[in-house]
Amino acid sequence: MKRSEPIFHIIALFILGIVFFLIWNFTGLTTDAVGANTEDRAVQDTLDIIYEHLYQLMPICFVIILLSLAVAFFLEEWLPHKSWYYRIIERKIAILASIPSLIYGLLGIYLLVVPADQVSYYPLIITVTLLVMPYSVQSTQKAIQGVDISVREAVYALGASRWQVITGHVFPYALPMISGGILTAISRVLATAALIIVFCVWKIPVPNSTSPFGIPGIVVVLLSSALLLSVLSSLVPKNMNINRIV
Amino acid sequence: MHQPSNVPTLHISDLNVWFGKNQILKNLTFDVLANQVTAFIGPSNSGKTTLVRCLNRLNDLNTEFRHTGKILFNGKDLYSPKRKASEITKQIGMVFHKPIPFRKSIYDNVAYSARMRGMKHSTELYDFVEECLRKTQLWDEVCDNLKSSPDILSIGQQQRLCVARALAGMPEVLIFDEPCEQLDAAETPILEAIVQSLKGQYTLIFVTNKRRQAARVSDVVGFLWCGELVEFGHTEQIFTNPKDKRTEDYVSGRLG
Repeated sequence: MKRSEPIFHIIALFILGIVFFLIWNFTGLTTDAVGANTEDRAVQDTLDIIYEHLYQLMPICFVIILLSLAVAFFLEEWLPHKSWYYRIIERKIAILASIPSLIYGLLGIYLLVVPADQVSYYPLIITVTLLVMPYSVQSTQKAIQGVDISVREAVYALGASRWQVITGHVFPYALPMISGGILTAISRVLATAALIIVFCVWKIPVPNSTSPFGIPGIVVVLLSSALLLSVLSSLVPKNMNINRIV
Repeated sequence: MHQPSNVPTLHISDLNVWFGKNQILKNLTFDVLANQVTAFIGPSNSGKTTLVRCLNRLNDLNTEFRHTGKILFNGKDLYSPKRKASEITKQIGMVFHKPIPFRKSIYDNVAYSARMRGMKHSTELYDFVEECLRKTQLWDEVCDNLKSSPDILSIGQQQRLCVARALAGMPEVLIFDEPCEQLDAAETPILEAIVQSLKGQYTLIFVTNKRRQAARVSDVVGFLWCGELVEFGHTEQIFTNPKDKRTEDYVSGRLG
């Protein structure tokens, strides 16, 4: 385990780099190609909206993940586990997290986008929240529950406050599992985005024959980055030691 | 000035403890005197661990915990709502039955609790860590590896590291909860020697289910049986002239 850690970090950084490079490069390429050559305003507008929404995905995901970390820590550390409201919340989160991601995407389209009849970010934000939050809250909860109770007690027995226990020990111990869950959640979002594009705008013709990438290009990029992220999340060692050497 | 040893550091009266509906401890009354080793013996499930975890409020972590009765620490109520549990655990340290070194270097493990007490200056901190490690006879074994992980240490060394970490918190009372449970025959005498050497400076509470160990290390022994404190008295008296039949049966090996 000791020796593989730096290798893991290098692999992780490498894969993340590839993902971001692909997203940046591919989408950039397609915009230029389409923008320069196509006459069809509608197609170009559609593509522009897709790119815009895809670019907005990352900051939205980031905020939602931070929020869900806070929610998970609140649920696990502050709420009494035997109370009825904790059990209800936990069960609801489990149900929401187990729904296939495509259903969220389609519901978002048919309940939020189609009736509204105009382009806005609210459907995106609501759908991505429903998609990411239950899943990452659940995986973070599992990670926190996985921290050995004896570690917690040992820190409390030294006179640490609850905040010191959480930030100094529970979070670092749970971090590998938390990051695995977050990566899986993001890859779910990317895969869903790809599927939704396939469902809704696959048949829009891109008249310019010189551009090799159109909507299929975006789909391929999204799906391959989702795949890479899920591979990466499975690479995260579950018992990775933090702060091994200071 | 050295405190006279007849001042009770901990005064426990009529302590009853429940977890949910199970009553774990029944009507315990005793005093723990300063700078002595007070041992608790008894078979497993007799409430020894629950008892000592009441003394540093570690049971508060369990939501089903409920208690009646009084625990006075230096004359003040331990469970008064004004006192935070973290203030108590700063004064009453604990060593667990299983060594739990943190995932930090050996040095930082010990320095962790000292830093929490506000010790920041690096040379002072280093000297203090050395002092704590010397008290637990660990300094000579780890002084070359202070920056490495505690994983390289044996179980016994890890347990002594945990003792050093508890000492670095500068507690007044130190609780050992079956510290030798996972140690082998070679490591156990070292830990017992450490307990003996700490006796003058700290008030020690030692939980064990090995009768002979209690006889070796302690000044005062309490015998717990099914949540009752059957007998509490000087070690010699308990082991040579017990008043209760159950104590006699237990220390002679006929019971439990």
